[in-house]
Amino acid sequence: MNQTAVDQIRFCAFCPNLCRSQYPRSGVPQREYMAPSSLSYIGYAVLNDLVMYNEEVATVLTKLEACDACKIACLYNYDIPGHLRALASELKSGMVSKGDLVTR
Amino acid sequence: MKETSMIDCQGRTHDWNAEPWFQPLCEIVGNENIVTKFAERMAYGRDRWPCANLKYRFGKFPGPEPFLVTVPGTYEEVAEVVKLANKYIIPLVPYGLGSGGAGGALPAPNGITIDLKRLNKLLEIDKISGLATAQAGMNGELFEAELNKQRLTLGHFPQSLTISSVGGWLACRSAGQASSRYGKIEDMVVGIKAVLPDGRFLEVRPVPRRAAGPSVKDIFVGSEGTMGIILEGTFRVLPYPERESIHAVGFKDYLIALEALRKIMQSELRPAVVRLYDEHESRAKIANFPEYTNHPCLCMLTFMGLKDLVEVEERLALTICKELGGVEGNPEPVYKWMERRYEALSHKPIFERRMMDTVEISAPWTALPEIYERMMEVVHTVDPEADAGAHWSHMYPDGACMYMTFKFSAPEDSPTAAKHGKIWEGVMEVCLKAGGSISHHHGIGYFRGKWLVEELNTGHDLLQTLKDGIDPKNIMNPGKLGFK
Repeated sequence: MNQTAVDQIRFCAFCPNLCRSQYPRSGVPQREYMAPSSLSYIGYAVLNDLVMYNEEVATVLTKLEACDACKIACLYNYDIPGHLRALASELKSGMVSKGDLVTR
Repeated sequence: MKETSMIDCQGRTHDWNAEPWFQPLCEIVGNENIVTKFAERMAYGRDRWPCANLKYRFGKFPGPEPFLVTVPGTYEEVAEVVKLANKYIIPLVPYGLGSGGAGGALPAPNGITIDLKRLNKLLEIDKISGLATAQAGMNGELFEAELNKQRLTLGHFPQSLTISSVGGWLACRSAGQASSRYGKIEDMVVGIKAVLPDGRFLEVRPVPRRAAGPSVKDIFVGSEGTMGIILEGTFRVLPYPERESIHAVGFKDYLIALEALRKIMQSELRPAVVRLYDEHESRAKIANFPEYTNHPCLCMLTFMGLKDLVEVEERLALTICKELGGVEGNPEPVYKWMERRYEALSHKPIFERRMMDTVEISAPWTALPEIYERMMEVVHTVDPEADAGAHWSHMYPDGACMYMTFKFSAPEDSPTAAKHGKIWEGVMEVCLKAGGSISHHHGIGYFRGKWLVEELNTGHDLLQTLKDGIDPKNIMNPGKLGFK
């Protein structure tokens, strides 16, 4: 993952989901943990060794339906679902782990 | 509230089936609407309280770990969950869209967070009576958008419009940017449905007014989940404004500007958006407009409604401004603000490793200047490098809201928290001593509880007695609003 993607995930992790009005419009099940910033926070937390990467975390990072729905409304034009997919893939394959990229 | 390390929480296991209430809970809402996985529960450990996000930056929950979350889909399911919680004395925390700024939605120890987002429908629009009913979990922006399709408006435009819920508005007693014209949420809501802490339904039928005892509705509006769970609200709605006019006026200093705004409000004029910025907050907005050079305090004024009414109100208001030395200039700063008026800004400082927080108070006109000067003094005494400024909005004939924003460098957790706490102690003391209210519209949550007790004094005892009466087991959002 490049630093830009990591920075955007970190930004999204602390954003109050300004995109979230798209979430109910999409018809995706209404769960806070599927909101983009919740998922981005998990990515941020794993990269900073604040949370362990395990099967549960890996599964949650695949639940991107709401994130896909909200992408169109991102004020910053970030591709958060794309970044999270890339991160999930790299975490799964061991290509990236804690401390690889400065995020904190 | 003791913070907890996320990684420690993640490492713990819990046997849910050993809880006597777990299976009954699954039967009420369905297994698919129970959230037990740690990685999913993490989302419910914070709201927009800056301290909560600071803790998240360092991998800590700002309070207890979210223990379990349920997502009911009907009013009956909510009531049954509450009855179950009552039976087993399990704390309950209602969660809308998590946009509160004072920790009101933080989990309770070993409690259940109730995510209300499935209750997100617009139920009815009565165009004749000008009423609309929406469920608590409905996104504010979507509610307004549905009204607009019918050429109606609620007139409620908080900065958090896109990230807040109808139930959250009611629970937090919110105010929108056009409140000087349209009123606050308590002026707009005429009926509610809720679930009491013992699981009974409450309905306050929507009528224009009643002299039928003290207002039951107002027990819930502003209760922040401590008196029960709001399910829906019925609101007065108005025709979409025929015209909106936008003006920017520069003043030599904030004192003369406040004087102009006082006269405008006491003339019974009703501008929609009224925002007066101090010199610090005006600076970037007027940098490219030389007409404001000698009038560095920017005042934004908008008027909305029937075309003829707008024309009269803007003419009279601008005359008052001019009489007090105000200079009307290019309204471009107002248009620029309007483009991003719903963009919350709290995440940018975190990204930049800074702490940013806001203090919004209300006070009579006579107290506002002293409060401003002394609050600014507090911030700069604690941190001479802090970036601080203020604006005044939400105007009344008798006073206004002052909204101060401060930012400082936050490289580490504990020193930042300590500095933040010191600033808050100081500014709250200033506000209380000057006779102001500690919160105009952000609410109390967890964070401001102790100052609320001081502001309301015997009034808080009264509220505590009420809470003890309807929630004797203290299951509803315990520890918030300064309650035991």
